[in-house]
Amino acid sequence: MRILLLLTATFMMLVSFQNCSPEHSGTDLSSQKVFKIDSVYPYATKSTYYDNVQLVNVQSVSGGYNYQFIASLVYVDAPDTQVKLRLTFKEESGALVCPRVEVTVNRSNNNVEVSNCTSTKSQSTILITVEAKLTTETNYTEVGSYRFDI
Amino acid sequence: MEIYFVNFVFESTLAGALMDSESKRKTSILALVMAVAASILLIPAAEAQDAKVVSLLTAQAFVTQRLLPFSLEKSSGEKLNVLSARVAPPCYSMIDRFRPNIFHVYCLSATSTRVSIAYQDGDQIKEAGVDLNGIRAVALISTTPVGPDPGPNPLIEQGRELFQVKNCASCHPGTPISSQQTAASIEANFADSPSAEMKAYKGQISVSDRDALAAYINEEFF
Repeated sequence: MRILLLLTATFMMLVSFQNCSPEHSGTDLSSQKVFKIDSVYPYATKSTYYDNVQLVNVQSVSGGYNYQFIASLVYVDAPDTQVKLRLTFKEESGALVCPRVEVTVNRSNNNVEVSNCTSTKSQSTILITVEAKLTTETNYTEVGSYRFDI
Repeated sequence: MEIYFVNFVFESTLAGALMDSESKRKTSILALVMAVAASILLIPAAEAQDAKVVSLLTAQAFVTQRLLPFSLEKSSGEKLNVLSARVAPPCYSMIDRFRPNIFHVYCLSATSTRVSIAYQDGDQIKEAGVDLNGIRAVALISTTPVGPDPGPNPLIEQGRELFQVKNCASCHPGTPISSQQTAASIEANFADSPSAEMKAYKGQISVSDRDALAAYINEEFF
């Protein structure tokens, strides 16, 4: 009886065994780059706003070049607050590449698409300044800046 | 506004290690009945004091290569401290450095994923999860050629580097090079060269490297 139990227990252990150890392959793990999210966290101090700008397209169009961006902004401590967002697009010399963009955003509506930035010449670099203010405030505050080497 | 309600995780407690088997069986049945009753009766109570994950960005702003901030708070608005936020690659997560109730998710490529969160509610540690669907990839990684300058040709750049590394520059362009080079003509040049140094390259340089050298020579010298 005891032998039967022992055999049953051994059988159950064998069929239920799962090898959960890490897989070993010939890959040299030391050569794999591990992404660190801390490396993209841009704020050195407690930021009033979270912002982001991305270049999403460059097109040759009649009369120049069209640059398309997306941007986002939120007032962190009260995300539903209405915030004025201003984007300025400049070349390295400081000249404006295209007209400034001013929009009002809040948490429910903070995906900003900029499609009307058209320059008469091809830009190798575009510098973008992000400014924001509460609708109750008078002056804009610089929130962030971005550089796109095209 | 994007609000994601938390999925509460009920944990069972281990007890009665010293009980006899009959007591254990009864205890197990009782625990099961209580768990079912709790899941039926106590869920409304749990939701009344629930936590919620709130996105600070609208869902249209969920794109790759952007920190997506989320806050964790009770319905009453009380902020809850996030203890950990876990997500599988290609997404990564971190708790904000300055606000413990906010965590960020950053995705390297387009995906849908789930973030598992542990948070502190009073003296209890609870778990939650939030699904992020349809994170889009829109950032421009490489531009389409704009204007007359298409940028450097990688094959020519490879050839330029090889020309230096293989010490070709020590004799050329002082020694003439023929135009319209190909991988085959360069190999023939190695074989026919009066220079012992150049002859030594016969059969030593791959076709792709000779292609690159030919592209560089044709571009740079003619």
